[in-house]
Amino acid sequence: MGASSRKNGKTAAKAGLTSRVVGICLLLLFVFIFEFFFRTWCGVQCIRTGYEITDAMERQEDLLDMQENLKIELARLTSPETLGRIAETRFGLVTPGPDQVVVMP
Amino acid sequence: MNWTATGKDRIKRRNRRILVIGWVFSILYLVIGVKAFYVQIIQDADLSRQASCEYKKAIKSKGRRGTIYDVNMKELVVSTGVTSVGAHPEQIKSPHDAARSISEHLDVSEKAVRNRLSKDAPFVWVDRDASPLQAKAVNRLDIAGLEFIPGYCRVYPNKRLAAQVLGFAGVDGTGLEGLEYFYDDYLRGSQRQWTIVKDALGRIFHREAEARPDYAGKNLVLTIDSNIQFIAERAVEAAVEEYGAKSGMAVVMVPQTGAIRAIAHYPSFDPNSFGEYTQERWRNRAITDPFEPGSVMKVFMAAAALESGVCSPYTMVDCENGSYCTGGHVIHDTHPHEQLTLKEVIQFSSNIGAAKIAERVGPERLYETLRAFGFGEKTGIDCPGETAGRLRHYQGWRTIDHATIAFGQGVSVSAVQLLSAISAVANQGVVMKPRIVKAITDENGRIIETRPPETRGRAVSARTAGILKDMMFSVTSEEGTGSRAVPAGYTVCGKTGTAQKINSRGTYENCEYNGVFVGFSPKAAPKLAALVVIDEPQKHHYGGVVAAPAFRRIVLESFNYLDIPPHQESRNYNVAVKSRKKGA
Repeated sequence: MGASSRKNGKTAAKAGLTSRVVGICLLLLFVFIFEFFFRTWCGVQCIRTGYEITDAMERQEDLLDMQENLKIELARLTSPETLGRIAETRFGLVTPGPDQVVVMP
Repeated sequence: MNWTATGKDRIKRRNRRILVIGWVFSILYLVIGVKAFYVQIIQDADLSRQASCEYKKAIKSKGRRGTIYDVNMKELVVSTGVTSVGAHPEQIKSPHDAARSISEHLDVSEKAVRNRLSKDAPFVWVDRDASPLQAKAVNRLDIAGLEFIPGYCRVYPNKRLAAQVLGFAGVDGTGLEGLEYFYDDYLRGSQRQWTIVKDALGRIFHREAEARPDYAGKNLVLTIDSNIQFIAERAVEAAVEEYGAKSGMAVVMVPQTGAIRAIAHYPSFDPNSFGEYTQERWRNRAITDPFEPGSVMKVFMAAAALESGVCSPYTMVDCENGSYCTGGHVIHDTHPHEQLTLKEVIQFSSNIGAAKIAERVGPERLYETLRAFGFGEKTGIDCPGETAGRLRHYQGWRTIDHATIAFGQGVSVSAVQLLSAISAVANQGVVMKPRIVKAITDENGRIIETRPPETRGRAVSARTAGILKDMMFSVTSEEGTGSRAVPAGYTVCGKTGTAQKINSRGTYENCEYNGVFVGFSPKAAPKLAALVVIDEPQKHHYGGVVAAPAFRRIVLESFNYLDIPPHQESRNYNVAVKSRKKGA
């Protein structure tokens, strides 16, 4: 009786140990698989962010080019020649004579 | 029993097979392991390098050339992004089809593209300054053998405005003329390397630039005011057209600081297409070309006479009724005079009076005074190709040279040199160094270098300068030769000059003249000094007739723009108009 119960106890302990080892192994396997997927996901995210940064940089360059072109256009439109021509032809403006200048006291 | 034996044999054979297979796999794994070791450890560096060549690429790019601003920070020259489209003709399969497709997106005709693609050359340019959008459209055609090189091109948005001052840069971004050439080291950007990482499909997912603080070029802030520049250019153009002259130029300067506000030439050129004009047009003649100033030199002769104490403004000179023989030559006056004071010699521009006073001063003193005003040496203005003019040493003067130099013959000056000297009269006798660049900034607009006003020395005492100012004021009176230079409501001190031009044989031409007017305004506190030179006017040739009205127009319109009201010195008004902050 005693020997039988000892044997049963050993078997139960052995079975518990085995299931714990299996559990740990499964856990490690899960962690390993999780880490594997996580690393892959990080890599994909990194590359995707790289594409986004490249796109943003290209867009920035395009916008800077556009800004330069707009600056040139503005400089053309506000050049003394353009403004002088509009002032004279469209609005009939002339340089005031001394009698037309009123100095505020 | 037999069954048992047979079963044991079968198990043995099975175990043997398993062992053999195990060994085979082990050997295979070993081979793989050895190969993996060889590849991963031994060949690691080589293979890594080869792999990086597949997905990593290094390209070089040139920084944007700096912008040139006027004194009010208005853009005079800017750089804009362009893409140069090139081709390797031998790699183009069908030049005809390619030319048709390419020309649809570029500003180049199909025929021109076809000719370029059909050339027997390893590389040809299809379009050197395509816009980035045009280049992208061509790139999308996916034609093998095309190459796209990003870069910048210079744009001059004001076209002809200050063209000779600004100069221009070539297609490779190197300054070739004017300030573009003189300040090329500051303006041009440097090269830097980009590392580009591509994926298997050739898409860029990472790029990194080498850190270069001097990548972008520096910006120049000029003392030039684009509005005054425009005013001066219009005035010169009108004078040249009215009098049928060959050309004309004007320089405007702040006498107290030496800041050049305008250098105008007519005819001019458009630096956006400089190749369409002759090289003659490119030159900044106000800096590079010497000319005989004529009677304007009488002001400096008078300065020598006053400063030496030989004469006072009221010292009488016999002007010989219009004809005087000296050194074996006869000198004439335009209008005969008998007795004139020194002041009247300047006012009526008597050659004989000037020659006689120069005799009293002596050659050494006259030479020293002219040198003190900066004649015969470069002013040091920051523009390329400056001439020093010509003023021979007094020991080499003959009697007639001594006489003619007093009224501006036998001596040559540049326009900027002459204006700098006259500005000294307005600046109480102190000669300022003319300057055209006010500051240099980095790409973010931070000032990294400033160019403050510099004095070149004192030419005459403040008292002498004051007397000269009064004499020059008399020139623009109703009776003076420069009366047409005075805008209503303002006071002007100036001097006219009419000089015969020297031909290639070294003799004077009878019918080719330079009409000159130089002066400053207002008299009490001069704000601007200006010089106008009209080259070979046909209808009239006197400086007081052809150049003085252009001076008047420049002063009137500039003062109107600068909010300097008329009569400000005679009536002490408090000016309440909106004042603009003007840089030096």
